[in-house]
Amino acid sequence: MRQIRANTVEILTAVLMAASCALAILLIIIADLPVMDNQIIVNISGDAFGMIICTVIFVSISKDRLRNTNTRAFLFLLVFEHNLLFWDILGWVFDGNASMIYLTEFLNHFMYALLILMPYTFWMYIYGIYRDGRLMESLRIPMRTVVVIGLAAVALNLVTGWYFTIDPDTGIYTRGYAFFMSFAAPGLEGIFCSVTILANEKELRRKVVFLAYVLIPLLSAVMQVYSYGTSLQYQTMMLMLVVMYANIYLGRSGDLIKYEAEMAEQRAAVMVSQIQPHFLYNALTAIMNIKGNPMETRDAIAEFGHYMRKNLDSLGQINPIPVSRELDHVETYIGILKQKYSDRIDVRIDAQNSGFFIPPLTVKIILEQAIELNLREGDGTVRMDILSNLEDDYHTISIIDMNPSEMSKEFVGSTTEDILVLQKRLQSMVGGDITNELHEDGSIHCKIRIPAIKEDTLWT
Amino acid sequence: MDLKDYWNPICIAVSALMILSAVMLFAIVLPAIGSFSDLGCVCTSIIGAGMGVCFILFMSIYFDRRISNSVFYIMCLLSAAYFSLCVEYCYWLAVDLYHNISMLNAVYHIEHLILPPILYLFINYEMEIMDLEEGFAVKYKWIALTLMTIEVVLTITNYLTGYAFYPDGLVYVNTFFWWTLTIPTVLLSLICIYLALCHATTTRHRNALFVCILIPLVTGVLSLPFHVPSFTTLSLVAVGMVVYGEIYQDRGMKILKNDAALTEHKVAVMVSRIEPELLDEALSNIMEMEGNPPETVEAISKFKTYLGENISTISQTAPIPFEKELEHVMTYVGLEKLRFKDKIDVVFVTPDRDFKVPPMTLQMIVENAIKHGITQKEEGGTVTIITEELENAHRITITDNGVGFDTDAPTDTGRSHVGLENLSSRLKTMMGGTFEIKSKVGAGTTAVVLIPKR
Repeated sequence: MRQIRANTVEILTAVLMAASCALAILLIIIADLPVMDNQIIVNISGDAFGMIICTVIFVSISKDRLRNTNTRAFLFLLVFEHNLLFWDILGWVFDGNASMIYLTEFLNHFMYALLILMPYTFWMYIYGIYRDGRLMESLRIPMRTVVVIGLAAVALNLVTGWYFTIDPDTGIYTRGYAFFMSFAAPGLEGIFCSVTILANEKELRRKVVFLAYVLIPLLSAVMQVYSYGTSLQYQTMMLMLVVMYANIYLGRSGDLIKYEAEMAEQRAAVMVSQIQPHFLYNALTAIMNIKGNPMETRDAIAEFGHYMRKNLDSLGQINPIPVSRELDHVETYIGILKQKYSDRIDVRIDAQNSGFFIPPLTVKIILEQAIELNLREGDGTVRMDILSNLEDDYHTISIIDMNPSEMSKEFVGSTTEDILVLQKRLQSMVGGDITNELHEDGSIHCKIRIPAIKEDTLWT
Repeated sequence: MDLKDYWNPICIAVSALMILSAVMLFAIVLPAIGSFSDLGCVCTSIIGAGMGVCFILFMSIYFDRRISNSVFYIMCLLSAAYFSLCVEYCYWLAVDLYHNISMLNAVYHIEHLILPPILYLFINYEMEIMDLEEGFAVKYKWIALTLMTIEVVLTITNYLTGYAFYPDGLVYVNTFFWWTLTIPTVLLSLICIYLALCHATTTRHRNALFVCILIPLVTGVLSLPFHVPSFTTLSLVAVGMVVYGEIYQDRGMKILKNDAALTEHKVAVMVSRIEPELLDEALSNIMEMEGNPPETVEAISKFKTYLGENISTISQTAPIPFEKELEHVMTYVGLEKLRFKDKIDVVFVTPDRDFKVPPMTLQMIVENAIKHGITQKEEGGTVTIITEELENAHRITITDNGVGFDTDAPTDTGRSHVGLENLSSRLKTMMGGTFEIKSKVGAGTTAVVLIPKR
C-alpha cells in the first residue's frame, strides 16, 4: 500500500513540475522582455530550459524500477533544483514590481532556504552510499545543526533584513549588510560533504563527480557575488545534476558487468550442483534394481528417490508454486525425517489458507534449518507447528518452534546466508518478507508474509 | 568492422570537435550578447544550456564500458542534437549579429540536411530495441534510407537552384514545389510513429518512443508564430534525454533481472546440497528391511561407507583430482555389478592420473555407456577407460562395445542427452576442455575428453 502512495506522490510531483514549466514559459512570454537587460533574459530562459531538463530526468528516474535508498534523495535534489529555477524566473520577472512585493519576499526567502536544504539533501544522498563509512556518524549532528541554524537565520531575515531586503515601495531587491553570511551555512555543508567524499570514495570517477557537484556551484556562487545579475550558478547546478544522473547510468554498466561475471561463476556452480544429486539418484536406482529385492525395499528406495527428484525438479522452477504443493513436499520431508527420529519429530501442519503462491522450497528450507538447530543439541522432542492464514492484507505462513533448544534461541535475530537468499527471492518474486521472533512463552515464530493485494505499478 | 576498435578515437574526436565549436561560438556570442534581439537572447542561452546537457551525456557514453547498438544510436543522436544546436547558434549570429543573408541561407539548408539523418537513426534505434531483425524490418530500413537520400539530394539541389524556396532579404519565399522538401520528412516521421505504435514490445517503450516523436512535432507547431526553428532543434535535446532515460531504465531492469536470476542460482546450489545425515539414515533403514537379498545389503553398506568417506568431494563444485573421480566411478560400477553380475565389465587403463576434472565427468560417461550401451545387449559387454598424456593436453577415451546409436539422429527426449550437453559446457567453462562422442549402430561408442594443460 505504501508503495502505491509513494508512486502517486511521484506522479503528482511530476505533473506539478511539468505544469510549473509551462507556467514559467508563459510568464516569460507575457513578461515585458524589451525592458529587461539582455543578461536577465539569458538567465530566465536558461532557467526555464533547466526546469524542463529536471522534469525529464525526474520522470525517467521515477519510472525506473530499480530503487535504492538514495533514489529518493536524488529525486528530492531534482525537485529542489526545479523549484530554485522556477523561483529564480519569478524573481527576475517580478523584480521591481511593487504590487508583487509579498511574492518577492516569499520567493527570495524560500530560495535562500533551498540553498541550505540542497546540500543537506545531497549529504543524505551520499549518506545512503557510505552509510557505514568513516566520519558519517560524527558529522550527522554538526550537519543538522548547521541546517537548523541556517534556516533560522533565513527566517530571521524577515525581521532583521541582514541578508537582503525588498524595498516596500519599489519592490527592488537589495543585499543586506550581512549578505556574505548567507554563504556560511551552504559553505559549511559543502565542506562537510567534500570531507565525507574524500574520506570514503575510492572510485576516481565518482569522487570527481561528487566533488564537482559540491564545489562548482559554490564557486559560481562566489563569482556571482562580484557580478550581480548573472545567476549562472543555478544553471551550473542543473548541469551538475545531469552529470550525477549520467554517473548513475555509468554505475549501472559497472554493476551489470559485475553481475555477468558472478552469473558465469554461479552458472558453473549450478551445473555441478545438479550433478551430485544425480549421482546419488543413479546409485539408488542401481540398488533398487538388484534382483530379489522385496517390494518394501523397492518402495522405500523409490520414495527416497522421489523426494530427491522433487527437490531437483523445483530447481528449474522460476515461478511461485501453490502453497498446497509446497506443504505436500514438506510433508514428504517430515515423513523421511520420522524414519530416523520417529517420536522425536512432531510437526503439525494446519493450512487454513492455501489460496496463494510462494517461491518453491521456501518453507522446506526454513523448516530444515530450524529442525537441524534443535536436533544438534540434547534429545528433546522437536515440536513444530506450520500454520497458513490470512491476516489483514497478508497471506502468512508461520513456522512455530514450540520447544526450541537453547541454540535455536541464540540464533533468533541472526540470519544465515541461506535465509538472506530466501528473503531476497521472496521479495522479488511475490513482494513478501520473513520475520523471526522469540515470543514470551519461549516459542520461536518465523513468519512469512506475502501481500494479498498485488501492488499496482502505476507507471509503465 | 568492429565498432569497439574505433570507439575511443571516434568519441575523442567528436568530443574535441564539440569543445572546439562551443569555445568558438561562445567567444563570439558572449561579448556581443547586448546587441542580440530579445528572442535571440532567449534562444542562444537555451541553446548553450542544451549543448551543455548533450555534451555531458555524450561524455558519459564515452566513459561507458558497455557498448551496444542502442548506445551507439543514442551517441549519434546526442552528437547530432549538439551540432544542430551549434548550427542554430549560427542562425542567430547571422540574423542578429552579422545580418548576413548567405550565411543564413547556408544555416537554413544545413538544418534541412540534419533532420532526415536524425530520423533515420531514430528508426534504426527503434528497430534495435524492438529486436526487429527479420525481413520486413530490413525493408523499412531501406525505405528510410531512400527517403533520407532523396531529402538530402533535394535540399542540396534547392541550395544550388532555389527551386522550392529561396531567400528574399531575411524572409523566405516558397515556390510551387515547396512540398517536395516536406514529403520525405513527413514520411520518415510516419514510419517512426508506425513502428512505435505497432511494434513496441512494452508499453513503457511505446510511450517513450511516442513522446520522442511528439516533442519535436509539438514544439515545431508551437514555434511556428516565431518563424525560428530553434525550439524544434532544442526539442532534440529532450528527445536525446528521453532515449538516454530509456537505456537507463533498461539497465535498471536488467540489473533487477540479473539479481533475481542470481538469487535463483544460489537457491539451486543450496537445495541440491546433500543432506548427509538424512541420506545415511534412509539408507540404514532400507538396509535393515526384512527379506533383502545379500547383494542389496552389501550394495547399501558399500555405498554408505563410500559416502561417509567422500561426502566432501561429492559436494564440491570445483574440479577434483582425477584419482578421486576414478573412485566415484568404481563405486558406481561396483553397485551396477551387483545388479548386472558378469554382464558388465569395466577395464581401467589409466597410467596418466595427474590432472583435475570437473566432478562427475567420467562418471556420467561411464553411466551412459553402461545404461544405453552394453546392458542393452543380451550378452553384455565391456567399457574401457584409457588415459593418455599428450603434449599439451590430457586425453580420456571411454570405449564400449555396446549397441551404439546413430549420432545423426534427431535429439531424442532422453534425459541423458541433457546430461551430456551439460557435461560438455561444464568442461568448456571450467577447464577449457572438449567432449566428443562417436558412435555407430551395432559397433559401440567412443567418447573422448580432452583437458588442456595449464
